[in-house]
Amino acid sequence: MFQIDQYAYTNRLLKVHPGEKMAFAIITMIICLISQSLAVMLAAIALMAAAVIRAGIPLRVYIKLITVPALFLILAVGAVAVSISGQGEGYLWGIALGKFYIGVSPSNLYLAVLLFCRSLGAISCLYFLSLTTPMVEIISILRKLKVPSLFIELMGLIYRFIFVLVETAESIYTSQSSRLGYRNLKTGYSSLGALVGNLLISSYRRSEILFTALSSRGYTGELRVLETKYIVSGKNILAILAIDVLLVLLSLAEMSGGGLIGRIYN
Amino acid sequence: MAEFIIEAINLNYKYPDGTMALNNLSMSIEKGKKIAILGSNGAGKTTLFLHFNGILKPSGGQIRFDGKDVKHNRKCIEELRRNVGIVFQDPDAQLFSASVIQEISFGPINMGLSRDEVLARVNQAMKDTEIDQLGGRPTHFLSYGQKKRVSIADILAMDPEVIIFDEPTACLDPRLSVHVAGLLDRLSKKGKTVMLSTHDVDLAYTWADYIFVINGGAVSGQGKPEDIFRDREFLAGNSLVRPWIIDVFDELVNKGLVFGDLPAPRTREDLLSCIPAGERKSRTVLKIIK
Repeated sequence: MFQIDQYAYTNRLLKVHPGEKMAFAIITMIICLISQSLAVMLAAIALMAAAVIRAGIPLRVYIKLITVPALFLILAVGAVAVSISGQGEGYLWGIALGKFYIGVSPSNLYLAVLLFCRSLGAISCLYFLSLTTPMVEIISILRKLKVPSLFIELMGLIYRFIFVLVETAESIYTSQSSRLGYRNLKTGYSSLGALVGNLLISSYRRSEILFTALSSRGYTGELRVLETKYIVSGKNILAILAIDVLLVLLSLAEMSGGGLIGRIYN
Repeated sequence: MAEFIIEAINLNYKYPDGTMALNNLSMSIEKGKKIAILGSNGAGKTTLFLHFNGILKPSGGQIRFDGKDVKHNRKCIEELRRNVGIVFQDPDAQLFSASVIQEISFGPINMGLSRDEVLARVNQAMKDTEIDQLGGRPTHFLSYGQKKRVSIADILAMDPEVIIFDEPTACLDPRLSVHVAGLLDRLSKKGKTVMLSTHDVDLAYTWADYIFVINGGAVSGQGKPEDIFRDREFLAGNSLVRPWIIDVFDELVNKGLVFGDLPAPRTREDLLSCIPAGERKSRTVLKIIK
């Protein structure tokens, strides 16, 4: 997670208007979720991978990152692909268990692949966004979109204090293990309990100090800060529009034509 | 007569659990001076600072800013916070935003300044604290020293009359300590009243124009640094040690190397320059004398 955050601040697309990146990711994701076409989903996955590579994130890193949700997805769609029925006809692969057959039918396999690609496509879009756009900027775009300020401020504070919390937890953990706190399972449990309890108390204390510090700078219930100005690039917006319109057209064409896999299967 | 910018008059503060944090404390801060506040942990320094900024309301007594009584209504408190800034000890507890620029802009925006003015102040504050390279970096990638400087820039951007630093050099490496001390001097030269609390007697002795010592929630002593730190009895009673410059100077006087009627040196350079040149003896001569 921290690796993603690091790339968000150092990638080559950092200077691109965050609104453009966000629009690209979200619109493509919506198309990917709505479309019934496998080609569109594959295109979305490829597009996002290309965009991430363009941002200067090493392919190796991206593959590693995308493998995590992909593994989860394989497990999940596995259950969709496998079905049980009374007769074994039409199964690509199956075994007989008494009167029943357990196996994979082509239609279920197609469904599973579709589900897998759709999810992976949506995940790629979100990965693109989080790898190229710092959280601070996502938040400021949300603010411009008039998302309620309570939500925005909470997001900002949570993001900032995740790092403080992890740092505090790390230092407590280090100090505990340097005194043999994790020597065996028993001490480990009690140390972990103390760590969590301590973290809660110290977070509470910290929130009090933060409130004091904010008040002393004139905080009256709203966290107003300076927004960075970005240059809107017409070229980028055109490119985003072109790509997404193409995806929609592809999706529509596929729908009337019966789909890529559908055609192969027929 | 001296002009006082902040005064605390018979200030009392009782914590909800009944502990008396401030006990009839009175203190007058002269405008434009460099003030150091010394006192052991738990003496009430931070509590006092929070009164100066209107965060805490005294249980008894009065705060006065620029000759006027501070009333605990919204307008008065806002006015006070505009004029008195506090840099807290732990930057991680003070910084709320992941973006350095947004963090520093918070104070000036609350003051209702225009966007251009805010931007100008943020840039100036970043320049003054030498963090102008860090504007685009998120706060969680910064080192402790960098975070500390952001927390100072937070307050500089508000350009208050009085700036209070709660232990500004704690946990800083020597180079940064020197940097911060230089910054404090520059602020003072600009006419700001600068206050700091510290455990570093050497810093207090060299830097301050005037020193307050707080003990048990009250002022146990005040005066010019050379007066405060040459009073051995007072120092012992307040668990303070003597600055090394005074120790060395007194030893030089005792050994007859320096005349005792000279004013005590305040800085390392002053001390070194008052040591007279001796006769240079070679090692062999020294051995023969032995």
